[in-house]
Amino acid sequence: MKITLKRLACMGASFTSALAMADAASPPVLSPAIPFDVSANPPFTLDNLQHDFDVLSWQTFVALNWPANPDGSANTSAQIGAPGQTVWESWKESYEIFLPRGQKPVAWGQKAPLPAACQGKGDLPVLQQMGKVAGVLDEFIQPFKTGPLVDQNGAYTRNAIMVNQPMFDDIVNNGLYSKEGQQAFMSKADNRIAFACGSQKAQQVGAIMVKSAWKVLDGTDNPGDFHAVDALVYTPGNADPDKGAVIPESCSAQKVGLVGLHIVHKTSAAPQWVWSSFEHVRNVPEKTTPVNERTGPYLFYDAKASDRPVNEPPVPPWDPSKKATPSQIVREIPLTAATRQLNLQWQGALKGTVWANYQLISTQWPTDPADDCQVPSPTNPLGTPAPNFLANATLETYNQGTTPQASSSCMECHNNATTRVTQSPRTSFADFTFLLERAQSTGAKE
Amino acid sequence: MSDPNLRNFIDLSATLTGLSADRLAPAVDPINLPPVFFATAQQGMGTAAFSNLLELYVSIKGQPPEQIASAVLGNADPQIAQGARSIMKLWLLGSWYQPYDQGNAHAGDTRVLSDQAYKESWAWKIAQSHPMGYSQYHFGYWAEQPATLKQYTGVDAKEGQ
Amino acid sequence: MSTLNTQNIETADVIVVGAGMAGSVMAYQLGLAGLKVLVLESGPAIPPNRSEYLERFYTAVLKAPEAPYPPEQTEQAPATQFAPRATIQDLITAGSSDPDKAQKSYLVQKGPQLFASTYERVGGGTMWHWMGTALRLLPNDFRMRTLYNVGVDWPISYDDLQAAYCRAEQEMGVSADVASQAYLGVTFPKGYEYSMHGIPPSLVDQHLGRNVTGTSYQSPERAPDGKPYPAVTLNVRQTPAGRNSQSDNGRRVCAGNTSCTPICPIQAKYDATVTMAKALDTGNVRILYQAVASQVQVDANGVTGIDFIQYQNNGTRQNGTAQGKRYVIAAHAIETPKLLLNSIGPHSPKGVANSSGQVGQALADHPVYLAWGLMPEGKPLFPFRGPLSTSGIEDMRDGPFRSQRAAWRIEIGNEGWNWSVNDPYASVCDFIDGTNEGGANPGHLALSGQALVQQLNSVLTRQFRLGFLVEQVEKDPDNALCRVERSAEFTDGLGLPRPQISYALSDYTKEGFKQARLAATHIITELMGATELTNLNPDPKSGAQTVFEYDGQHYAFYGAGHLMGTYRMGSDRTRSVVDKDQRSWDHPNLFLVGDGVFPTTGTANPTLTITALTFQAADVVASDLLKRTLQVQANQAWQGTGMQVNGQSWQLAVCTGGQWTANPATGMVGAQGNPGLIAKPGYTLPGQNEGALIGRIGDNGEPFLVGQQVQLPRGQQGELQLCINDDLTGRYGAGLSDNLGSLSVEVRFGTV
Repeated sequence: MKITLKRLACMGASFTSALAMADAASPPVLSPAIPFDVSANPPFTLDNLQHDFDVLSWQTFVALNWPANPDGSANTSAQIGAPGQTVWESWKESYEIFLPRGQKPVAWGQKAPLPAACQGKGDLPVLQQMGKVAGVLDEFIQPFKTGPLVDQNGAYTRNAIMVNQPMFDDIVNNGLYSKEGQQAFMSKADNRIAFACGSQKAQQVGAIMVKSAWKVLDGTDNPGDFHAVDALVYTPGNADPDKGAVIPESCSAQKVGLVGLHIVHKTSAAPQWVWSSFEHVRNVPEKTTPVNERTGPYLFYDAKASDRPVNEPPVPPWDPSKKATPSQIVREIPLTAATRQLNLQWQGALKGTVWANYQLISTQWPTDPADDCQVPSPTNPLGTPAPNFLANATLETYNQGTTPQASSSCMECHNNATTRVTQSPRTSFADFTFLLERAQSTGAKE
Repeated sequence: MSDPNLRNFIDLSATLTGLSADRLAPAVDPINLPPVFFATAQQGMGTAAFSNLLELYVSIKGQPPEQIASAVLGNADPQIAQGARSIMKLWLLGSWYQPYDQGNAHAGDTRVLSDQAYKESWAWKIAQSHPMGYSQYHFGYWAEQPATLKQYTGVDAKEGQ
Repeated sequence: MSTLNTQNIETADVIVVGAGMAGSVMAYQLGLAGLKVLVLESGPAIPPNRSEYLERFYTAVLKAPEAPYPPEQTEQAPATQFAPRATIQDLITAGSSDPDKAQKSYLVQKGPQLFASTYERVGGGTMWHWMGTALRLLPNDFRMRTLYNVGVDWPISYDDLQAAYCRAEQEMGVSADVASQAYLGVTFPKGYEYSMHGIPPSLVDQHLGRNVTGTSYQSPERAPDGKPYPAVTLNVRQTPAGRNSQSDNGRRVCAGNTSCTPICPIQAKYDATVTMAKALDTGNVRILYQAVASQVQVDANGVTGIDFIQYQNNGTRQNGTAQGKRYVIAAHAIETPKLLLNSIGPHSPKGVANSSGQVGQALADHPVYLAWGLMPEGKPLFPFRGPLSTSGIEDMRDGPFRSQRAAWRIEIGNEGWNWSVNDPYASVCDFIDGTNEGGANPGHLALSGQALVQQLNSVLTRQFRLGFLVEQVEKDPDNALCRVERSAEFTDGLGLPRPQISYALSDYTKEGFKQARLAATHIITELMGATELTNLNPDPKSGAQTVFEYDGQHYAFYGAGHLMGTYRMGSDRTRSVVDKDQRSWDHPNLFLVGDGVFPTTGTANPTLTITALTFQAADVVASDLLKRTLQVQANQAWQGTGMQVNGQSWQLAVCTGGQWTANPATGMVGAQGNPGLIAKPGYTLPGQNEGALIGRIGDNGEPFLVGQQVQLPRGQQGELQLCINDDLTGRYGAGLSDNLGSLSVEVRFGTV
């Protein structure tokens, strides 16, 4: 089913429509309200719709980065850029949901126990992933892996994945946090993984996942240029050479700065989810920029070493406890002129806050969305994404490009995610999240 | 290329292949093969022959599809008849089959247009499947019945299929 | 182009030539054991992602196994390429009337038949394009001469490979349900489970299963005594595959891309880069890419170095020599003999490792008999879906007929007529042009519009194919007709002689084809009720070809992509190249691995057996360099061995001699101790025999019985310590102080 005029017209009728109509003419309005869905305005051309989804991305970025109350709700009496934890930073992180032995996570409002190596180092958020795999995210280093991203100081960047409460509730209420729970869920012939859709009609926010990339800030970095937090940088140890390099466990409190942010929101207009990707403006030069114009300074590119080969992962073994050669990264696919223009508008509205240091790379959305939020499209599961490819230089560093299935496309890769119950298409499909693969076994006999 | 020519090219392709125009060229199309196919056919057939084909189509486009197909594919001008067949193969297979000697190209030369042309080619959907090397389906799908031909292409399967 | 003549010496404990399946396992196991390994790989590096390869594949017209990989298949310029290899493109040219065909083809094909299989020369090797089929050989495959009086016997048995097969299946991650895999003598350890559950059968498999499984096939053959052979019950059976059915190992689960050969877009299919990545993660392995081994140097004691030429893409080259304590050549069954035969010297007059004259001899493939059919209208089975093959009919891989003719396995294809006629391309063109190249348009219909869609749909959804992988046995295994030799006429871009191939199928194999044809027709027409479209009368052209005549009929054969047999293992040094440990008879520091060591082909795709054998060879190489023999004294408590156990390598402790006692009054005993006396609390290991040899890993390890020999426990790390089973603290009497004697114990790599 293609985007129909009728379906899009529905999208237009929402409380955010005023914002949408306004944005064409005047500066963006900064709001803590997370949009329920895209606001699409005719004519429904590819470029216009892309613009509308890009606006959705910025609106969501602002709302999620709003300073939060202790309970995680947006602090409406503060402005974005005020100090404090952001809304999304109060959400549950993946290590809190998929626990050893498939234990049930603690309730949404409660803090989960820290990894043992981190205890006693402060009540801080934990960052643990560092290696982004070709499509599969995991704490251990995998073959045909894409590799860690190394900053100019030789330190690895770190990632974290958060989910919002609707998504957390779906996981917990359906027992999906353990392998046995997933099996029990799938044993009913009508069950399938289908997270909640955001809906204008129902005025509800859908499932949202956030993936953040951070770099360790040191003396040469100006914390004022980043959204900076104190965090526990955690490396789970590995003693099994079958799973990757043998490396020690470690945990230390460090000041880290945000360099990349994926926001993924499932909505009625986009049951294949809306994939928004942001980066720090100083991350990397674009490949299309002539070498002598790459002035920087960049976070992941050394303008003085322009003869180094680009976009090559470090030589294995990868051990985050050892200083590594800084990565030399360029952006393969440049931002479009339209996105650049939109970024200027929003950065202007955010001027004076750290958030003006961030830019939208693009938004991937299905041009031929599935009929509903439950069942994948039988003939076009991806829904013909626009743009065809999308990569964040900090999170899909080493598979940027335009080759189908090999180069980064959010939907294409995430469509391959499965549950731990791979028996049939119904039981295997994980609704575009790799998180369900992390569910451990309780060890109980079937 | 001008828009009406592209439109006519798409509509002619739809008539010849049996696949509707909005399937071959959706209104919102991030892949955007139709203009690429237009340029390929124009270059492959030669501007004159391609032009002749489109003009012929414009002159008969009100007729029923079978008559249009007959007029085109059975045309006395072999460049029109063969060129049109190459256009059908382009949509179905993503490859340009050079219909006759033209410029530096020789009859029988074959090339795959691009990775996107291959992955979007229609022969596989007509087979109720996906191109070899490009599957969007999920584990175990091969053990279950596929979606119908109608769901894939808008065309009902033969009786008894 | 320039050659820098600076001599570049590279050293390591072990030099491995080839970064394919065998080279990767060897590098990983040796790196894990703590040895420094240098791998020389002729082709380019393993890329950070597969976009270059996949892009080449998507835009290739001929989507042959080599299509994604460099050098580009359309170049056909082996005389100027630095690491050229056999391709299907070459094969097509070789069978054509192209006047330049000899120069265009990397393999110099002397005939009478064309050798039809290909391989890759890139980091990761031919495993990039393997199908994924992970079958074991059958027990009888190892003893063809003894049982059937054909071929030669292996110097090892199926049981000797059991533990290694399990290790190979675990390393690759094989998906299968063990209950379906025990047939024709194949056994597994009690309670064995494959790494992952089996891949579900395709609709093609299901349709075939409904009509074939449980039926009894009586072939029309007669035994020498004139009687028919017993009928065989046929089963459509799941094929074990190195392909993810679960997401536990960090790679994606199979999405049925139906392109396993030549490339899996998402790496759901296992390939050797997985193991090579682990090898690199040990920190002990280095790979030199674009480094072609050109000559092996030997003296009276063994190999002294391997010369190589390292080339850059701009044509610059540099010579080098790799030197180590051990050398392993893992360059597959054509490049390995090419290298050995190119290494003529005073201590290797017939080439390195070739005193038997068998290097390059008995080149074997599984020539494939392809048969295909079209179901009646209204009975689609929906091919072009799922992995390329998910099931097979394995029941005729062995039987009494094998004294007379070759056995075969039947691979069921999920890709319709893609292999046999290049569908959907052929049928699409046929129904547009009104031709019948593919065979599905006998009426020469030329269609368009909805009628075209409907007819194509009807035809494409009713196609299926069977591939019979026929074993290849020489009539006289010691005087093979199928050989790899050095070409005297043609060289590659580095000036190295290209491989010259002589290839002729024996009557034994051809009779196998004849029976395959009969069985295929039976299945397609009688059991499936389909129309057979197999070309039953292919055209034999003049010159070397892939069509042969036998018993009044013509048969076309295809290559399975399996190259075997060219440096076989044996127990007689005059008739084989390596011993059962894959060690060269001639040069004790040289090992040859890969399926060149197979003395017979059986009918299983060779990859799993290559992997299993390489695990065994790696144990031998590691033991050569790291094994220790020590004396364990009866009158001392825990004694260190200096042997660090890493918890992952498979290691053994074996008592090789000596006698001792924990109590002189009860007499001297060996490592099993005194069965009449059971150790009490306070002893080294209560409950086991007094005086037995006991081990532990590290000061805090749980003691375990060693006895005569034991597999060291895996999962623990630390130094192996040994001790006699006695009253260590003198709780009951004299304790250790009155003990006499000692045992000699060897600690090495291997499985019990």
